Amino acid sequence: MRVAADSPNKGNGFIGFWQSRISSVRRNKQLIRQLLFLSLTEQYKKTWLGSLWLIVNPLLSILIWLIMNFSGIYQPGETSIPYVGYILLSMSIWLFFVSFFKQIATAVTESSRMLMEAPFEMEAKLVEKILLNIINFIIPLSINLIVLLAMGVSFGWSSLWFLPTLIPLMLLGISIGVFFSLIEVVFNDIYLIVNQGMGVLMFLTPVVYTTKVDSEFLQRIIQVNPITYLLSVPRDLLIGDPVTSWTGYWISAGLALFVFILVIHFFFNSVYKIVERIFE
Amino acid sequence: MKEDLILEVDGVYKKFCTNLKLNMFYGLQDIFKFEQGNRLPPLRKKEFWALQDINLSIKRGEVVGILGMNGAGKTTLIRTIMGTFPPSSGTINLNGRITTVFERTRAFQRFYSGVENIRVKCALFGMSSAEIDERMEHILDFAGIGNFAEAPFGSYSAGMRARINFAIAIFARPDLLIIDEGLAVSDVHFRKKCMDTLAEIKQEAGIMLVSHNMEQFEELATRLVIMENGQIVGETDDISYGIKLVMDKKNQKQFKA
Repeated sequence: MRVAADSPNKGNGFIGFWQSRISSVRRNKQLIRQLLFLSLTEQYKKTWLGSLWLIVNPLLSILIWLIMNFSGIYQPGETSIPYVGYILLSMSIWLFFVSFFKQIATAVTESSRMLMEAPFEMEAKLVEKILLNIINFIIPLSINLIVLLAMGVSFGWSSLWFLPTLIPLMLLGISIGVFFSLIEVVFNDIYLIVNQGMGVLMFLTPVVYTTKVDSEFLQRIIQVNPITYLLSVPRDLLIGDPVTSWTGYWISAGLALFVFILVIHFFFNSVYKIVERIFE
Repeated sequence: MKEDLILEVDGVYKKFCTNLKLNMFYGLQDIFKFEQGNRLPPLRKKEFWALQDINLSIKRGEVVGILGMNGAGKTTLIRTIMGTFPPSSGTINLNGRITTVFERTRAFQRFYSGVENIRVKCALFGMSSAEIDERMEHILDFAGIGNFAEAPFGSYSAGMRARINFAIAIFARPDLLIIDEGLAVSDVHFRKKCMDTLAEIKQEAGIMLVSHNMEQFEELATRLVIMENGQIVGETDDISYGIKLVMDKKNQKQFKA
């Protein structure tokens, strides 16, 4: 191991950089497994139901949306499937995106206690957070799909594209999280503002309403919002709706990939400079 | 780097900032700054050198005692060698696995059992799943926690925690073992067991020892490095002489105060 003032273990060139990241993940397989085990079990360690909360939580949210729908609080306009099913699906996708930001943004700070005694490679923490978020998404999504089936929603062949088309949204969520994991250490104020801003962003994205919403103001915003396409297209494909806009989707997907590459390079070039500041 | 040379610290400098807000601002500046290579960066407002021009090497079979008064830079040096603090300038070459034993361990999770915590800490030290399975019994035996292996870590006494911590660091089979007051909370019996084990493992590894207990240096160290104000001010193989030198200096300072 060589530690120097000029960024350690970066790898040379573009290919070398990514090879270095991949070999670090391979080296740290056992650590990733252990960290994932801790994260998955930690939150429910002191509860009686334990990991069953992974199932109880989505069931409770289904119940809440059912009550809200029948009470008439939400008037979202026309949806091709029952609104409760629509909202459950949309919220699952939205939470999938926003959880990447929330989970990864605190990854560096969260590691402080362990880093004090055994500095480990940050790739391990990032991969652990990504896997954790995927697991946390798959369980409620499966339950929601069962609810959709029970509501009479049928899934066609296009549904098979649902998960692959979610990848750009995942890359964008990871990028935002990774970027703010650095900022959170030295400029927590911005992180707190963005954290709040994510709530606002949800209402500027067709999550609880459709892309055919009446408001002209919202129409204009959702058209320029890349998350609109990254969220709507997979949803459309799953429930068999006409795709919102393939052009919008591919432009947004390209943007997400570009941002992802940029942010990961930035992170591994910078994280060693600020990691000591989490101990204060 | 030669095979028997485990650690090579070459011209290492480390700076810190005494003001929290400024430090955060400098952190933000540094994130967006292009690399300036290995040149010595200038001190900014409220920054100071915690380590200056540190040159040190450790070979297999050596036990290097780091001696100095509080604030001399011993723990900063250790954390820089471990890789927790990146050096502001200079390079550190480490050949092999490094494990650490600190006086108080923070990496353990209180709601998890001893066994679960051992698995995590071993993984942090870079051990594979097979290595952990193979050495789990040895770690539990050495730490002597008996029936408490499956009890929550939060219910362990300070002594039990220290014993587990030490056992993991030993059974990870390090090439370099760093002990920073790591034996301070152990009882006399366990401390004796540790000293015997350290004498055994030093045949194959290098050991860095920071302690305020001079007996440990007398018993184990093969070389003493004396630190003051972030600098290495002396190095000697004559352990008794080195200890006397530091104690005399300490007494002089206390007398003046």
